[in-house]
Amino acid sequence: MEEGIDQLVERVQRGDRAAFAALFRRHAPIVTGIAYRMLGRSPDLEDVVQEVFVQVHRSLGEFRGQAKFSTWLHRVAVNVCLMHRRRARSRPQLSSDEFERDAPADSQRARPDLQVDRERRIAAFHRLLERLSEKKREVFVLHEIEGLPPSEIATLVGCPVLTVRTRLFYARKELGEMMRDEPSLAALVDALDAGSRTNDRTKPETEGDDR
Amino acid sequence: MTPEPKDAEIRALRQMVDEVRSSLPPELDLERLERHTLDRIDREALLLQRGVQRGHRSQGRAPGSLAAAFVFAAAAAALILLISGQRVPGAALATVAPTSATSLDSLATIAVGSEQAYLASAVASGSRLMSGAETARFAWPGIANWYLEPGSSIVLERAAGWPRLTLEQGRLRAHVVPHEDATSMVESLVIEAGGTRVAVHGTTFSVTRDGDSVVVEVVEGVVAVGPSGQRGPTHGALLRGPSKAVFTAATGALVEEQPFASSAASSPASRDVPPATTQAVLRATGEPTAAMGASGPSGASPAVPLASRSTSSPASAIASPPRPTAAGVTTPPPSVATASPEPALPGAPSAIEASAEPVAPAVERLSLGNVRAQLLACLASASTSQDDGALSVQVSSEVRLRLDADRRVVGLRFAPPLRPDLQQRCGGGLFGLTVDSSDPSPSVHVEFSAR
Repeated sequence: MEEGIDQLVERVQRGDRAAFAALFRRHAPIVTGIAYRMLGRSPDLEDVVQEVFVQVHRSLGEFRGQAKFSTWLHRVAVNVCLMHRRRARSRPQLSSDEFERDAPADSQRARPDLQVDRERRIAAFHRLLERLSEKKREVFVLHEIEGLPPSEIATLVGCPVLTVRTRLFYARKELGEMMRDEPSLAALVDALDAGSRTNDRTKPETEGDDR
Repeated sequence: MTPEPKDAEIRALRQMVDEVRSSLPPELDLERLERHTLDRIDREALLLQRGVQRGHRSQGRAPGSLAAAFVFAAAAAALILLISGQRVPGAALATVAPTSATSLDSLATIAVGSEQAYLASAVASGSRLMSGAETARFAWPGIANWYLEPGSSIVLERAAGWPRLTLEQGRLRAHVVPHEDATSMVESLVIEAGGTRVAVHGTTFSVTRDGDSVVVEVVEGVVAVGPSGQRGPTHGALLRGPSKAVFTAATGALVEEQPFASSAASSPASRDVPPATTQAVLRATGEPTAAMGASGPSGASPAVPLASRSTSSPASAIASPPRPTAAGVTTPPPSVATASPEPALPGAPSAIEASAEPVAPAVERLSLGNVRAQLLACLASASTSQDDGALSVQVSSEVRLRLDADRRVVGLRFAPPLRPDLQQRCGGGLFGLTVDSSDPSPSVHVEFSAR
């Protein structure tokens, strides 16, 4: 039977190296997912995952169980990703794009068309995110992708909640407009547009944006 | 004024958010990542430990705490003696320690196989250990065991918890436990003999010092030999066994390569060295020719005069990192290269390159350790070529290589990135070289510091 997370955390806090290895094995896929969602298909994914766990090792002694471990880990991972992006923006990298170029091509060969289309859209969407200003990108990813509330984002990025909401509004608007620039996303918009027109003919009422 | 987004755009945006949220990340090699992460945490713990030790040394001690420390030390020593209870056979020895007057008789011992060995990890840093008429055996659990042959003396120090030995005279043989991670930058055992520094990450070897030159014999495995007195890992020549070479004790510079003869395997003194996957023998001599004969019962082949650059080894095993050119492009490792006391510099002459008889390439495929050594040598070269002598260069970076199907380097990345010119100079030199790795994107950790 798998050991409970609380016991595992306690063992790590007592300096048990094997427990930390178990913690890593159990949560590395989750952290990888967070890093991927926040950074896209970056050659730095492994570095970021490693950095997250180094931070976890440094900080776990102060973790007193006020929050669930998974929530705490999520916050640590988000912070590391934010820091990584800020550092990466200020420093040049050598041949970092090679990793990005090759990966989608490999995956496209072996997968069905629908999956290929989906991956193209996701890659295109990540490119659009990169075109947003860093401030807008941060709040959009943290809120829409990672599901953090504006109040927490305000704390993370160091600005008022109102500013977070404003950035979020403009981020959505700019992304909506920019989607026309990417063929795979423009096709999606067109398909949805055509679908809504068809629905309009059969169903007079349209859905509103309840967001 | 920006127009409001259309309904289709909003819905497309929602769909993309959902797709991104449910997208699967690329598969990472989590086993390797786990090893690297644990290694990094261990390294940080070592650095922290060193920092704590420094902090303790720099703090003034109150008389009361000194007395308490003395009582504790006495109790600890008594406890250790009680546990060990045995004399190391045949070791009529004395310790002359700069910091204490403890004799070896009072040191704790530990069982290593069927023998007892002095517990070197319990010896105070800075102690001088001198053998008497017989060989003494020391053990540093988990790191190394070594023999100090009759009439030999070493000074033992700790660096971040790792043993650092200075061979003052005589001969020392050691078995070093290999690192679990072959790319780990921690040098398990460093032995300095004069200005020569010999570092191993996991091997068996011996050192004899009798003057101002050092003969290095490597039976198997890889040993780094270079100048001492430099911070950070050893950089100089990498000797891959079987090989034999003479270095100057003063600077660690390669004098000549010699025909290899496995004196370590046949030496009576080496028979009690624990079996290991790798072996190396290091020996120092005063006058190269005469001193070899006086270097103990090893039956080593006579030294060749310094003037005769011997290249009779079947395949040279000495390699130093490629030398960067002025344009920042490095050349592949020469078949035999010198171990310059200074880091490899553009156009530095090679003592053996002038040999009329070409020899086979020493390192057809670079190990990750070779890659790290090459990067370190390049960083050292870059730091020494700075116009501003007061410039401090400190680097701690993970270098990830990208290999093609033939294992040639086709890309690399520093994380965190270095100064662009340093990256170009040191990273660029690796392009096209073949690396012995089954991982298509192996990484090595580089730490370098120069002031």
